[in-house]
Amino acid sequence: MTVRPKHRVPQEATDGDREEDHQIPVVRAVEPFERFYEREYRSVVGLAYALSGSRSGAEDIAQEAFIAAHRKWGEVGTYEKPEGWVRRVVSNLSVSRFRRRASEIKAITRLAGFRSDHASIGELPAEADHFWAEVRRLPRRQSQAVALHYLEDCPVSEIAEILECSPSTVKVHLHKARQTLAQRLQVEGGKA
Amino acid sequence: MTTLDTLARNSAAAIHQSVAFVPVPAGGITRTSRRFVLRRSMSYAFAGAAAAIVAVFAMLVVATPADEVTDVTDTTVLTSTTLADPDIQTTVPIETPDGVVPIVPPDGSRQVAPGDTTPPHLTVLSPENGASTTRSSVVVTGLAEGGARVVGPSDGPVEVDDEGVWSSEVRLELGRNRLTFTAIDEAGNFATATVNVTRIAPPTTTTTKPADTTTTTTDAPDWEFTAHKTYGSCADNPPYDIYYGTGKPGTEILVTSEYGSGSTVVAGNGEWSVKVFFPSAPAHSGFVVNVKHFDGSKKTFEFTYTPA
Repeated sequence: MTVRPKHRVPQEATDGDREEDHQIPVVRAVEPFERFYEREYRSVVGLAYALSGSRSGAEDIAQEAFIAAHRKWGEVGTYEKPEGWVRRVVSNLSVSRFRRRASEIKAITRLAGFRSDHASIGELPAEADHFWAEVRRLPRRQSQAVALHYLEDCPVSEIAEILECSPSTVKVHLHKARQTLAQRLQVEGGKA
Repeated sequence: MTTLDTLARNSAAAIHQSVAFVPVPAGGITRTSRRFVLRRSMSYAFAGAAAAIVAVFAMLVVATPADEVTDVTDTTVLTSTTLADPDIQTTVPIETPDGVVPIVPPDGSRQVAPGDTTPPHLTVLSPENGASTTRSSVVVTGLAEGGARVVGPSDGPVEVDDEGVWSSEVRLELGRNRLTFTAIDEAGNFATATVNVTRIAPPTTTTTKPADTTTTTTDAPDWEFTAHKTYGSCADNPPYDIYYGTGKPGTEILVTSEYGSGSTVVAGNGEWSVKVFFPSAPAHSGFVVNVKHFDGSKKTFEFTYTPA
C-alpha cells in the first residue's frame, strides 16, 4: 500500500496559546468523504475482487463498505487510517461465500437484462486468476493477510491493524499461507 | 524473490490493471449509494424504532390503490420477482421505462412505495438451506440493508446491528421447516429470504431379545468407551504408564497385564484415568496391556520398560 498522507492535521495554535499547548485538545480536520472515496475506490474494488472472485460483486462489496464508512464518517473520518477501516470491512464482506453467492445472483440478474449496469472490471489472465482462486481457498484470515500483503503492499504492522490482531499472528498467517500456496501452485517459495 | 513472490506480485498487478478503468462515480457516491444513504438518513429521521415498525406493518397490511399515488418523484419502476435459486430466495428489482408499479407482497396484498421503490438487500448466511438438526431451535443469521427492519417466524423484532447483520432464534417443528424472513425499509419496500431447515428425531438403536422376537427401541447411549496410553515406555523404576479415556459413568475400568494391573471407576463426566505400575516388567522387552470396559469392550496397548 502506498504511503498515504495523514488527512487530519492538528489545528494550529495561536501565538498566545503556545505556552499552554499541552492543554489544548488536538482537533483534527476530517477529510471530505467524497475525496476519500474517489481516492480509494479502485483500490478497494481490487481488494474485493481478489477476495471475492466476483467481477460484478466486487463493486457491490466495495460500495457497501463505503456506504458503511459514509454512515459513520463523523467517526471513521477521524481515524488515523480510515482506509484501513474500509479494507477491514471489505475483507470481511468479501470472504463470505454466501455473500459471493448473493453477488453472483445479482450478476446473473444483470446478465439477464434486468439491470442496465454491468461489471466494469477487466478479466484476469489465467495465471493470476488461478493464483487468486487458490488464495480464496485459504482459511479466511490467511487469505485476507495475503491479499493485503501482496495486493495492497501493506507491511505486517498495518495488516495487523486492519485485521485487528497482533503482528506475530499476521506473520503466522502469512507463513502458513505461503506454504499452502507454494504446495498447491507447485512453485517454490513456501518457506520464506 | 521466490517464484511464489513473483507469481503473487504479477497476480496483484493483474488485479490493479483489471480495476484501472473502473469508473469512479462522480460526486462521491453512486446513485445506488445515495439511495442507501438516503434510506439510512431517513432512518434517523424516524423517531423510534417501534413507531416505524408499526407504520411499516400498517403499510403492508393496508391495500392502497395505485392511482392514489400522487407524490412519486422517482421514475424507476419496480416489480418483485423471485429467483429460482435453490439456496437463496430473494426479490430483485426489474427496471422498466416509466411509471411506478406498486410492489406486490407474497400474500398478494398491495402497497405503494412513495419515491424510493428499491427493495432492501436481504441474505440468509446460516444455516445452509436444507440443513438438518436434532435441536428444537436454530439460530438464523443473515445480512440486511442498514436501516431495514427484519421480521421472521419468531415473535418479536429481529435485532439488526449497524453493519446489517441480524440473527434470530427460531423454534423448529419435527420435519421440514420453511423459515421466511422479510426485510422492510422505511419506504415500505421489502425483500424476503427463505431457508429450509429439517428437524430430525434424535437417533435411536433397535435391539432384539433372544428369548422372543419382541423388538424394543431404546435411546442411543450417551457415552462411548475410549482408551489411550500416555507413554508406552518408561525408564523409571518401578516403571509405570498412565491410561485414560471415556466410558459409562460409574462403571469400572480394568487394566491388566502379565507384569502389573490396576483399576478405576469412570467419573460422572464420563472420563477416567489410572496410573498402573509394572514392578516386575522385564527390561527392553515389550508386553501387552489390556484395558477393559464393563460391557466387554477392550483396547490393547504395548508397554516397554527402558531402564538407562
